[in-house]
Amino acid sequence: MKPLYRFLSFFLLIIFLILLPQLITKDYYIHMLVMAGIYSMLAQSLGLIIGFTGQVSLCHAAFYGIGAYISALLALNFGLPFWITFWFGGIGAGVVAYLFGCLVLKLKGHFLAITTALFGIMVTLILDNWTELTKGPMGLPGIPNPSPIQLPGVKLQFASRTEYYYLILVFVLLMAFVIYRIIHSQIGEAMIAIRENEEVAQSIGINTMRFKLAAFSIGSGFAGVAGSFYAHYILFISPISFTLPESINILVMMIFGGMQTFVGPIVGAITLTFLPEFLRMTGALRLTLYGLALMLLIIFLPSGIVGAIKEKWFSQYEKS
Amino acid sequence: MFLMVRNLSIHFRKIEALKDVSMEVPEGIIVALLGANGAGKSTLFKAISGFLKPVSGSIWFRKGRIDGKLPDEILRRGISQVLEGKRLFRRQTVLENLDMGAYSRHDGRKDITKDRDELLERFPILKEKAKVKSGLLSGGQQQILAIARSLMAKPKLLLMDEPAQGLAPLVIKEIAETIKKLNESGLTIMVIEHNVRLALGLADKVFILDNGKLVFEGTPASFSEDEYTQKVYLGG
Repeated sequence: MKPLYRFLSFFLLIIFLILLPQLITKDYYIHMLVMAGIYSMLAQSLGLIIGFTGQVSLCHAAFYGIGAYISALLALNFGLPFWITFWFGGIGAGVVAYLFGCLVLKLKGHFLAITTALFGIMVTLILDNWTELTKGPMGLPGIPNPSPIQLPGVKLQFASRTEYYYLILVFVLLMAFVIYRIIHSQIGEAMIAIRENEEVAQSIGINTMRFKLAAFSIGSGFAGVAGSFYAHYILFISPISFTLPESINILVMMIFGGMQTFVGPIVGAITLTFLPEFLRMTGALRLTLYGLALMLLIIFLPSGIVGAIKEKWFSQYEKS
Repeated sequence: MFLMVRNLSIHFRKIEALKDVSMEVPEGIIVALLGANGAGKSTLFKAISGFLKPVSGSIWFRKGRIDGKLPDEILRRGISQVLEGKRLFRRQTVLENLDMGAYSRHDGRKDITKDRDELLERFPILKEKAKVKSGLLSGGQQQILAIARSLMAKPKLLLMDEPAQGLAPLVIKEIAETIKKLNESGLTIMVIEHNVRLALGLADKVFILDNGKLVFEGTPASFSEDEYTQKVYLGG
């Protein structure tokens, strides 16, 4: 696509996203859009780790939870506003990921997958059992809304879901911008080289551990920011939201959209946030059909929706 | 000395892969490293290029000690390796593979492109297939690309692990010619090779490893006179 067309389509997309809440009458659907935004952050940040660097992580929801709990605890115990706590949530999750990554990123394939899954379970167990701090399965209620901010010409009060929608939109766009810059830089080239063949990557002078750690820490850090947003949006968190099935849910979203593409995980996150809602009309068959749809897609479009479109596009381009 | 290995030992748990190996390689020659499977040839290469840490001993390259350093630092000091089995980024094109070969360089894009274009002139087949995904090349073409990619790092010493493995005789001849030409242009080359005739035809110096120990060191001419090589390689 020519740069001008690309810029125009991006511009139109932004206009559409800004106007979108005006087109939706039901508050519930705005809530779904906000959740799609949170999952977009989670799926795309996981895409940096798995899709671009090839490191299987089954503990993304754990970092999502770490960010949420750090943020909630700081807000509840120290009265810090969201505008400060989300930095701590993101950086805290990133630091934990860095330390954990130093230990486990030497592992490969299914060994890494199992170890990260166990880490995810361990985090949930800690959240469940460290009741003095986390209140265990009872969760943390009463997390405050983000404090109002004055922007030029408009004051955001965070009293309605629409304002959260605009906030998550900004978060998703900023994260997407950072990830785009990373994957189109020399750092991204190194990450892709590691994914394609780690030994060759080392042989051409790439310090593979450094880039694997970078991808893991940055990706998990963004999951922490998403967790922080979630805590200050739902206003209540408990360990049940950050379990291994949630990590698998994020993984499926990423694969569904196309994990080796930039926009694929976002497409996957939006589609799979809304798909179960559309399947409500099928009644009791809803989850069965949902599972079937996922299985069929992964069998027939293993590179995901966006991956398949790209392959089709390039094969046409190569033929012409 | 250009490359010096001193009393090098490497263990994999209880298995001694290299036992007290010492060798010296002068600059500007081709060295052949022979030995049966499991003799420790690839292990030695991996130690030189930083993929493995020795248990004891040292490796010196151009007066600097390099054992225990990371592969990226060793590459920056001038040792590049062509891995066994034509390992490429198979989904990337020939040009992209060559560009990735220059990853460790810090000179400008202009110099890198100039070197890449020179390599494409030197290896016309790569120029012809510049935009083809490397996984679609023939075995010989892939090996030439693997060699060219390691040259993009501008090495002083090139380690080649079985460059003729799995190739047709005519292609092997072409690879041998390429190795000779690279050496004539001033590059020091160490080759692991199972094909004794090919190794002796190429090399200025031959080392043989057996069960982790260095058992022969000499010229191709002295190869036929040695008791060990006569017994093992020449059926004497």
